[in-house]
Amino acid sequence: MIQLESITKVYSGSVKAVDNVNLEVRPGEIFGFLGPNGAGKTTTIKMVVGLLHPTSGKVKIFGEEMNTENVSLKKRIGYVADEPVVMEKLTGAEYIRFICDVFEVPFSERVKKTEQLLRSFKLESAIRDPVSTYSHGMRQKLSLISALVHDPDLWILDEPIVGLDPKSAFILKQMMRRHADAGNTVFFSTHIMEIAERVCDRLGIIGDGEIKFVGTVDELRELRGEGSLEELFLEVTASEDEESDFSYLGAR
Amino acid sequence: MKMKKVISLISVLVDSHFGISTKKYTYFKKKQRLWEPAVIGGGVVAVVVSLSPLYYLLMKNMFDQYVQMGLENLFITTSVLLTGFLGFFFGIFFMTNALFFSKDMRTLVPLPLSPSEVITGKMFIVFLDQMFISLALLLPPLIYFGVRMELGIHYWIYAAVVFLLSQVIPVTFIGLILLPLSRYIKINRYRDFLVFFISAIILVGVLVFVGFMGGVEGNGLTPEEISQVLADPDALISRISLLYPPGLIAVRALTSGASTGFLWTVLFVFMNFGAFALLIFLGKKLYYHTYSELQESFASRKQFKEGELATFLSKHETPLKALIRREWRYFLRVPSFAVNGLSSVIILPALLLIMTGASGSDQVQQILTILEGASGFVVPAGVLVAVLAGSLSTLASSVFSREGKLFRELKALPISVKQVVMAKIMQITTVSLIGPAATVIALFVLFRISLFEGIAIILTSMVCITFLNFIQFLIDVSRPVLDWDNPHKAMKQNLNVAFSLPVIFGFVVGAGYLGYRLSDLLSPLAMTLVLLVTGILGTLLLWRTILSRTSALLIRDL
Ligand SMILES: Nc1ncnc2c1ncn2[C@@H]1O[C@H](COP(=O)(O)OP(=O)(O)O)[C@@H](O)[C@H]1O
Ligand SMILES: [Mg+2]
Repeated sequence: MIQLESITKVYSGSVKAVDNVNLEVRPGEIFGFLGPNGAGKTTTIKMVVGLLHPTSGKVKIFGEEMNTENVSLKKRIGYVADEPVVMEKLTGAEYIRFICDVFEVPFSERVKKTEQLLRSFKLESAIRDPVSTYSHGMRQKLSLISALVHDPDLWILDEPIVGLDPKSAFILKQMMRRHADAGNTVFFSTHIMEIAERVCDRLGIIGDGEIKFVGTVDELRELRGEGSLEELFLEVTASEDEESDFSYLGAR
Repeated sequence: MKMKKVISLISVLVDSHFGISTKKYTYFKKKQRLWEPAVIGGGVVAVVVSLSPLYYLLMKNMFDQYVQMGLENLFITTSVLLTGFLGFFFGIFFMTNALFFSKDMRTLVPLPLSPSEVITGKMFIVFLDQMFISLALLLPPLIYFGVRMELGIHYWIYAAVVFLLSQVIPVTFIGLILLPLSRYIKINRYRDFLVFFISAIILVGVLVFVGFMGGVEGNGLTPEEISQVLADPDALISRISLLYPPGLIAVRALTSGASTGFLWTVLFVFMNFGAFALLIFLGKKLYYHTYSELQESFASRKQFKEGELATFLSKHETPLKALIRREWRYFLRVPSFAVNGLSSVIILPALLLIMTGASGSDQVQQILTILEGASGFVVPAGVLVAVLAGSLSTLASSVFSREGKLFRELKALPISVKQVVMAKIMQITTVSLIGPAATVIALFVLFRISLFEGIAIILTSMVCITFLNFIQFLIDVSRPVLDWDNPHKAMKQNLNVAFSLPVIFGFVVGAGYLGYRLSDLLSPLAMTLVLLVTGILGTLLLWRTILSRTSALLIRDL
């Protein structure tokens, strides 16, 4: 489904955000992309969806090289960006209709899908108002709805759970499960180990732009011995708890 | 390209660009701040109503003159060329906006839209932005011409075509220059400044080119010569029609009768579609594919060395000083603000100086001798020039608009209203000061004014500028434009700035006219004193209002 062949991204200046990453995401799985802030998750995802060109290496989706000119390829992807980038001045309904138009979703289907998604994420009452009146979580939901309304095979979600309330997060996780079980693929990033543990079939851990681990949660456990996953996560990402003394915050 | 998709894309971009849905929501659904559209609508109507008789007279005079010479077609030519020409100028500005300062590509690239569709959508917005030029300068003359010449239905059809497509060629031309450059601009650390720098060069280049084609004899070109060229459409047209053939085709389409005109119109349409296709092709090849790099920003990721952080942080300041520093940082680090603000305060004195440089020419010499006779009035007159120069920074009329989303930060900081106002006024005043200072330098070179006169001019004009800045401040504080996505909307495209211009010009022209009428009664010293007192009184009078309005703004839900 997704193949990353030694992709590297060096931003202008000298920031090597992604360093020789090889990764394969298979059909029918939920793949969690895990790493702390600034690890290179968003950069990798942006290269996958074509927003950034890799400095070197190749991105392949459905066996084809990713290319923003390939409209039919882009049509099969539902992408939710890390900060919901929906056009602020439109109303939610206008935005969804626009998405349906460019993805050429048939009329009968777009009505049904939109209604269902709106109900699931409880966004019905806000949909006629401009996005600029939405809270962060509501924007996140709108972004999700518009990524799913056209029924893409591949979901690429950059930190999708972050702004969601627990109920919506739960619904989303279930949707991801069902989508993968139907033979499709979900590729999502998170910096929260617990989420990865709950929903992923396999996970990849990235730190400082390099892949530190790829495999199942069980394999990760085995590899790193006993202990909670949170600890393992801290281990693979090489952050130690040397700074765990925060008494200075209250001190006067 | 799929038509359905493109139409959907364009309608969404238009809605978003002009904020149609948002406006509908606040004004019609929420019924909030209804005075805003009322004031804006009223202002627009007032301007149109007051200017249209003038415009009508101007058209009538020109037309009558042309008819006398048997050159009535030149009437249309002037308007077509002028429209195309101003299209170039504004095109640079709208195009850089669309290409380098707007963020919509982030949304559009991952969507299943082809590069051509995306570029078409973006360019269409540029056309729409530009159409106001055609609306103001082409549409009325087209109508007037048709009515006066009593032309048939064919004219009206061809005129509609010419009108609708009038901005295609200018935009394409600008695209031909700017799109190839986007490759070189992409990863540059000083990208934003580079964009401005290049725009400035293009503007100057176009001016020089026009002046050259206008037949101004060789050695160098002064703005005054350029204005001569512009003032004399005849010479201009005869030259430019060579370099702007599209204009000629349009004119032929409009003036060759029904059947020949039809052929010209068809040619015109084809030419424009060709130009548009070229534009899309270039946009796709040169811009779309470098877009990825355009979103990168420069970062060096060097850590502070041992002790450096401590040194950096230990230079502490009072909250007010920190606020002033914040003002300067936000002003200087947004190129659109810095370039607009700084260039507009020196433009007037610079023009004065360039005139001196050109004082070899007879006309300038003549003007100078006339002025010499009235040299006693150099101080009050200098004050007015300095006031104009300093107030044109438009920093005060965009004082809160420039904050944009950062306004929330300002609201959250633990500072008093007075501190906010003081910091802003001090920064604005400092920038404004450049105007009078430069004016005094220019006057010194021109008229050898004394040091005392120079100081008097600076002092008096600064007081008046502060007064005018206060008025502008009040305009912006009542209705700041905070939800912009590109900084041009806070300054150049800000209605508050537009509304403040009549105030500034009104003050300067009004005072100048009064001074002229009263020149027998009042001595230059008395005039200067009147200006000084007006400025002081006005400033003192408005101070409290400024504080209360700012505090109201800071409390308001935003
Ligand atoms: N537009 C950009 N320009 C320059 N550097 C960037 C840009 N975006 C991200 N970076 C840098 O690249 C690195 C990886 O960032 P990112 O992929 O956003 O991390 P994550 O999503 O894992 O938190 C960080 O060091 C970040 O500062
Ligand atoms: Mg991220």
